[in-house]
Amino acid sequence: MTSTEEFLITLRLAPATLALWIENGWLKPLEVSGARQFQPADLARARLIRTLAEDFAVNEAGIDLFLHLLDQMHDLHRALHGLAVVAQNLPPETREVLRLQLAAHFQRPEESSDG
Amino acid sequence: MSADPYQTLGVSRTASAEEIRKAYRTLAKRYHPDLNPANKAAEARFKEIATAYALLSDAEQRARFDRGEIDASGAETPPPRYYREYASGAPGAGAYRGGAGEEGASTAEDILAELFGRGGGPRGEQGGGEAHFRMRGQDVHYHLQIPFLEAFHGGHQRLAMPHGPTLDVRIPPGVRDGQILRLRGKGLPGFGGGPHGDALIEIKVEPDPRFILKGDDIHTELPISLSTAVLGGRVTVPTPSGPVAMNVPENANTGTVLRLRGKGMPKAEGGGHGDQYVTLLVKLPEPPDAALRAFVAHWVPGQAPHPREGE
Repeated sequence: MTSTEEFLITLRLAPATLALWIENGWLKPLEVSGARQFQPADLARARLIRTLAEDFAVNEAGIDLFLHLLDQMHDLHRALHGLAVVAQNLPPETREVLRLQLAAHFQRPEESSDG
Repeated sequence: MSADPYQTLGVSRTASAEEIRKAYRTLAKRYHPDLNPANKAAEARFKEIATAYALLSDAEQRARFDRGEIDASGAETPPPRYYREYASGAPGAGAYRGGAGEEGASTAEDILAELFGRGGGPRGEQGGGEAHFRMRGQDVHYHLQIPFLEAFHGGHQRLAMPHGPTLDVRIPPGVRDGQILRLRGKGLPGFGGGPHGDALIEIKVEPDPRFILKGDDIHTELPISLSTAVLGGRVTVPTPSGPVAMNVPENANTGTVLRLRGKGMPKAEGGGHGDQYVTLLVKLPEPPDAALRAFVAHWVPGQAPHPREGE
């Protein structure tokens, strides 16, 4: 857990910039008894936002769009990863069926039936 | 690791600042771990690129490197932890999950719905479209720091969750550092009418310099006066539940440990409390006392002084 002051110092960030990022919904720190608390994930996310702004010269609207897509992508990753974990625990025969069907699906993406 | 930074970025030694920036952006797009979450090898490669760029984007550092005053490793910094490490499922990024579409289903829910036939996949008519798929929602993870006294007595904390209502966290008395509190049903919503996940709150207890916890017992240091040490007497000891009177025996030296039964931490199991151990520290008078000095100057250990002399 990091306080607002520590967070600003660690990232060398102006208070107004942080206020904007939170207002835009890019960062969502916890609030404990009225005081903001930042977790390591918030810190890493803020670093990414700064990279986009400074190194890639992405403007505010661009960052907004980027984060929107990034969050969806990570959602997808987790969903696929969850499926992979579940698949690993299936009986070997079922897994084999899954593997073959998937291979067939990706070979013929336009076909919806194997006839 | 100290490869030529110009080679790393693929630019000539006479490249302009803008060319260097362009080259960096092109490479970062391919190797920045947060822009390539699935590429596990990206991190090592990106470290080189970032180091090279840190060196060459700073005009002064670049000039010093060109003159041979520093080598490429001069700009190496420990790599930060990238966002993808958290977003991929480790605790902490819960606030940014599942919220991509404020209205309606999240991306993950869409995939699972399609997989189990709702909404008519390619073979939906056969695939048991009527079957109702239910799945419990994801757990969310938080960290919460509390003072030692609150860990001792228990209490309430309000956590404003980024994506939901405020959580009322009841801290049970005797909670320990690192303990995880589970708030059932306070996580993310389930799929298809499945139950909510849980909120898991990891407690961090701030240490209190007065009370050192070892197991269920609390250890305290207590300064006492020289006269109490020699003659014994009644002293007041701070405990987490308030000051308590305690008898000090005669000739209690520095390092003597006394026990206050049942004044320790509430036990995690089986009820009751641990004990509080009080280590005595004999303190000479402050400021120095002239009479004491005079006495010690004439005092020979083992010999009885002249009792009541001068009284």
